[in-house]
Amino acid sequence: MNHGKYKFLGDYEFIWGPVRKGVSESILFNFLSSGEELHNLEITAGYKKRNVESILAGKRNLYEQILLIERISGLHAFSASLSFCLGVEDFFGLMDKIHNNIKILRMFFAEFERIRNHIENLSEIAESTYIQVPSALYAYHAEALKQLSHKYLKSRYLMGINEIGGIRVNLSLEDIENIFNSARLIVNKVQGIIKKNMETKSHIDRLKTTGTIDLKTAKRFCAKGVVAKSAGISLDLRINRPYLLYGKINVKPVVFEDGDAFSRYMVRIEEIGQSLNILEYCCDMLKRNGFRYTADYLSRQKEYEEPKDLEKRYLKDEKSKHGFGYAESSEGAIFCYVKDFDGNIFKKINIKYPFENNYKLFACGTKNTMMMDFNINETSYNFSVAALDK
Amino acid sequence: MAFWTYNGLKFGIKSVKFPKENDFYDGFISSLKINEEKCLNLTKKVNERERKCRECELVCPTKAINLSNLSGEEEIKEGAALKVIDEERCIFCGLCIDACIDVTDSRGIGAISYATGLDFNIRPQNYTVDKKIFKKSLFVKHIDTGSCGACESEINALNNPYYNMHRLGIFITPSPRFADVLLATGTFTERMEEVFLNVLDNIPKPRFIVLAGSCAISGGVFENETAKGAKDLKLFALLDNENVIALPHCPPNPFEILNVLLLIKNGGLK
Ligand code: SF4
Ligand code: SF4
Repeated sequence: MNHGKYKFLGDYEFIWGPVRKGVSESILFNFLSSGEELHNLEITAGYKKRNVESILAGKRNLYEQILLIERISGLHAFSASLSFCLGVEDFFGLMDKIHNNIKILRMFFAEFERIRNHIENLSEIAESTYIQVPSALYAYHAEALKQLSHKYLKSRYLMGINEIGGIRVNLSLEDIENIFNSARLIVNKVQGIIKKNMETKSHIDRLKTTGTIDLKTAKRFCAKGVVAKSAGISLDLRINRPYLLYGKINVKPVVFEDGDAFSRYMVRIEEIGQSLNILEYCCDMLKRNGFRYTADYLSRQKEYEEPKDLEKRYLKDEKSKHGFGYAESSEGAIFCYVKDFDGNIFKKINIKYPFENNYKLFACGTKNTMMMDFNINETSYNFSVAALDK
Repeated sequence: MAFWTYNGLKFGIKSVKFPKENDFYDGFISSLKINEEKCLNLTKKVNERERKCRECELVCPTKAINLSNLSGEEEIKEGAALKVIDEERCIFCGLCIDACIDVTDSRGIGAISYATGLDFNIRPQNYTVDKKIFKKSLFVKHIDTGSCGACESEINALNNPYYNMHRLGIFITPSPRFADVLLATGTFTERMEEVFLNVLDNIPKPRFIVLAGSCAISGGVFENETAKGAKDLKLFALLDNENVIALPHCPPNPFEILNVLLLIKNGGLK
């Protein structure tokens, strides 16, 4: 490694990774430090590169592609599959044919995933500041959310729900209401802990001014998601480029100015409340729209999966056609671009997660911070190495 | 701090009693069962070996189903009966269940269904000792060899108050030198394979390797010519003399992970 111009007399280098402490993903950090202060950080990713794009091209049908896309980063399974499904639906021109109730259900699960990921992150942040009790309490509630999804959806990570043109799992209105009511109870309890935690000085003080990035740096590195929102950039696809039915509801931008770990923490807290409101809206709308079962809206797969039909429509004169979809996950936008449909699968799928830019920003933002705060700083970004490496 | 101690105590004990009781949560699933009496191939007598319906086999994305192993034709290979549904490959996508319901047209219940219970066979090959080998606590070193992050999340969940694996004397350790078990997740990417062997070298014997998740066992949904998990020939040969336990599903449920770790700790691998 070459830290070059950053190296001063007395500085020493050390590496951490790719196998790190506890249960963490594989990535290599190369630190240049004088003991207390971190002078430079170089990050080497790519240990987990699975060549997802080439594996995707070898699948047999669109649903197998969805299964794989969900598993690029398991914690963002729903948002990723949503952006793929929207991309494919865009390609086939199905966008207008999808019933509003399906759109509402997709919003419902996307927000559910956001809530779960944020609560898990709160638990990790609490742990990084060494307050074990709130950390355990948050983790307990995040577990309750996972059990809830397992009960109704047979997956703790919202995998296997999305499919092209609809929702695969058969759920009744009652199920949705039960999920919402249980989720509300859980979120209320979490908000109780957050409130008490705000008074825990040792926690809050360690977050404030840790890993600060200013607006200019955030813009230079094109920060994404929570990190951007915490540095004063309003960047939320649900607001800026509404998809599904987000345009119909008034999602308020959550923006904080300080750009430190505390701001990122606050963005997450605000978003939990906001997402709960969206869940409530979804539940009300479903009731108002006379929704009964998801099975009533089963996508008419045959309509677009009849190979002969497809050949006529897409293979001959529309070679250059492509589809584009996106969804706002808990950490930022996931974009998906699909092209080259061969009658069964898309040969070319490009999927972009928000972590690439954030890692570069992170490496820059940690310069001249305290070694002690490294863990807090890293946790507050909530990276997924799996999504970065693909 | 006293404030949080008080709050923690007030919250009470929320841990499950597992393994003393199987107090799994609502909707917990751990395997897939095929009810052979309901399967169309057996209810309607057809020519042997010429299966009439192969819907589930065709739809399975991980090639976990092999209908040639339906009863009557069960072959014995290396001591174990071949199963219709290969637990090591199944990722619980549920496609076969849906496909079976469609063909049997039986109002929501086909021949294949989810089941609970932790009774699958996990005994490592060549493993002969039946007694307890680790006298005290069990230390586990985790390594991510290219996973999606969900398996890690499930292992992390074992530390939450619901499962609370510390109460059973099982701990995650940062150093391989203190470890008894190497818990590997992920597809064994090219770059991580070498790192994995390096970490393994540093773990004293006796030791166990647990391959958690279908990714680690066979590549799971990532399986292709190059990504084969631990089934990759080079790695497979190197692990020949090790106690390797395959812990399937995608991701394996925390109860399943805990169960395997407990069996290693207490002896009695089935
Ligand atoms: S649940 Fe999915 S992976 Fe498992 S056997 Fe059925 S089709 Fe195959
Ligand atoms: S087995 Fe499944 S959950 Fe585990 S790492 Fe692989 S894809 Fe992710």
